[in-house]
Amino acid sequence: MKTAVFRSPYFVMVVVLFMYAIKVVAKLSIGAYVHSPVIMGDGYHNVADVLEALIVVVVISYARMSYGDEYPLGRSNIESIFKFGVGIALCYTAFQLCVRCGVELVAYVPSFDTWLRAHVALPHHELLRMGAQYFWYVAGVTGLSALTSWGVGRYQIIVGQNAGCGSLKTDGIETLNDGKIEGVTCVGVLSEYFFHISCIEYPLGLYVAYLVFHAGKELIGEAWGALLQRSIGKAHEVAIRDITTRTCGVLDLAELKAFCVGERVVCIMKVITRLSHTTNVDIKHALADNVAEYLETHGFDTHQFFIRFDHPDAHERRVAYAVFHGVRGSFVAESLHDATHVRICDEEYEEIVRWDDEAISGIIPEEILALLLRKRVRILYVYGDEPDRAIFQDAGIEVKQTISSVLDVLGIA
Amino acid sequence: MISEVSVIFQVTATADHALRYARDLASLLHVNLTVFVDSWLGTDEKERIARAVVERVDGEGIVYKPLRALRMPMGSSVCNLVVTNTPSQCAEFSCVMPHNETQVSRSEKGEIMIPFGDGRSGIRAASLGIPLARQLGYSVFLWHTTWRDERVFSADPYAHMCAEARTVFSILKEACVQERVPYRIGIDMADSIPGGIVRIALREHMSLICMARGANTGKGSYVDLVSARTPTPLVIVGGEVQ
Repeated sequence: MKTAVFRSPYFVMVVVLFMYAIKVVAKLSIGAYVHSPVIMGDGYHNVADVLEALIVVVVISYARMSYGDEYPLGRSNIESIFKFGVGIALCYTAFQLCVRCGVELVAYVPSFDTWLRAHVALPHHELLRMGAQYFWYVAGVTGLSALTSWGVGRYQIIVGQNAGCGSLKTDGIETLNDGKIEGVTCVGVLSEYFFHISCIEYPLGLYVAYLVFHAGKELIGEAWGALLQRSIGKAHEVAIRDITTRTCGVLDLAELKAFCVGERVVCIMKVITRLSHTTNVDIKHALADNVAEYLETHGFDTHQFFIRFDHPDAHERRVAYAVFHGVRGSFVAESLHDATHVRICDEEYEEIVRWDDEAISGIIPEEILALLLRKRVRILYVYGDEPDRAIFQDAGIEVKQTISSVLDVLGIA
Repeated sequence: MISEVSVIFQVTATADHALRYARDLASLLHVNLTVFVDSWLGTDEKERIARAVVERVDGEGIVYKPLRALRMPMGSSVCNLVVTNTPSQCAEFSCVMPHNETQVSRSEKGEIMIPFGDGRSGIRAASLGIPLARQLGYSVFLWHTTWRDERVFSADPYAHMCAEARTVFSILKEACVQERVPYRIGIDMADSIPGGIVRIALREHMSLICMARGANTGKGSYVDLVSARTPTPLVIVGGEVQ
């Protein structure tokens, strides 16, 4: 029972929110105290993370609602809308961080700083306090923050994977990235303290800004793709097509649309087979299992399949065979002159599915032609050469020779 | 050892698929393909059929025989495989039902599924399936579907197998080792045995399913139930294989 609580996505998000609350308070207060734009920028980034964590909680509960007729593809795209917003917020944070670090770096060249300030309104330059009395606070906050981000991020990913909760896993990846950013900050603080290179934090800050901007850009890209239902990619579609066409009984994959709704991949497929409904259901299960396995190995943990089946064009047509029925049996006649009957056959998928015989003994070719035209016959088969071939061909009925005169060999016995 | 693959010639789409499948199987096994044609054909008709066969498949190593030869006792050539979608035509022989497949394997690496139960049918299926896998260079997938033993609480399907099925399982594993055929094992507690076989064969991209009829089965042979449902080519083992 206790284990189940720890594996609950909601419990994980409570842990995440608790972690971010502590981080925000610690980073903003310490950052303001020591005038560190990097630590403060990181703190603001964590405010966005708190927002994202709250979104994840809402999304988890919203995404778990039943699909229903009103939302046939579920409601997971709400996550994409929020993700888009968080992405923009992260990009703005990166811009702010970039400006602050730039200002501090420009301050090291006073003449250029004066010239620049004459043309552009820049924030005030603030001296960084990094004495021995601040070091343990700063190092402690950044180091512990990096470690907790790494641990909690891993926890989120594991629970997200096991619970099939894509948004939790995504948030876990985001938290792990936060850990990397915080790690870079920690390295900057330690370098500054031990090597007395006070300006080292600003280039590192620019690098952190780049990482934050990159994370924001990724979120925007993912959200944009999901909202506009962009394909999951040509390479994945080729792989899904390959899995499908490698399945016995499948003739073709006539339609494939694979796109994300929120974190979930929606796969719409039209499979061409000539099989019964029961076998198509078996194929449907096998395809869903195999494509799901493929998607999971490529980072798409949740999926929804819409697989429907269709038959290929049956190429229905009516053909006729000149047949002789005699005491020694029945066979395809050399020509209509030798035939006692014409066997009118319905053909589907190049197989004869129905036939009946019409007696033609003593009937002149023109009457046989009228019969075949009335029956909408398109091909007349004889075993030998048909002397009246021209009459039929002029009327649009093709006359062809059979490979064999044996009805069983032709599948019309 | 399979020494010959046979097919009955007909001018239908189904028979055409069987001919292409038989050609591919014979090529992979490096054996001749025997095309059985109607026993009473004239020379001209035989030539027409030979031309039609070559139009459809590569004509190398094809032997033409009258259909009555298929009805004759085949003695030591009982290992020959007849490719047909109507196995009732040659119930006494081992045959392959290709369904609508025109090649032996859609995957690069082929695998033969041998379902087994607690009787001799699994052993008989393996007596053809394992040598066939060796000759094709394929591996074997030994598959068993067990009913749940209500007295056993384990979720491991192996724990639910009866003693007879475990004996068959040991025999089959030993046969694979002796024939030096790579094998893997799958045991499941599916609701439907034929349904489970069909779905697993599809999911695992099996090239062939190899089965034999149970000697004591009256109604509802698993071979018939599977053959009616599966699109995967099915080998039905006929007489006892030497």
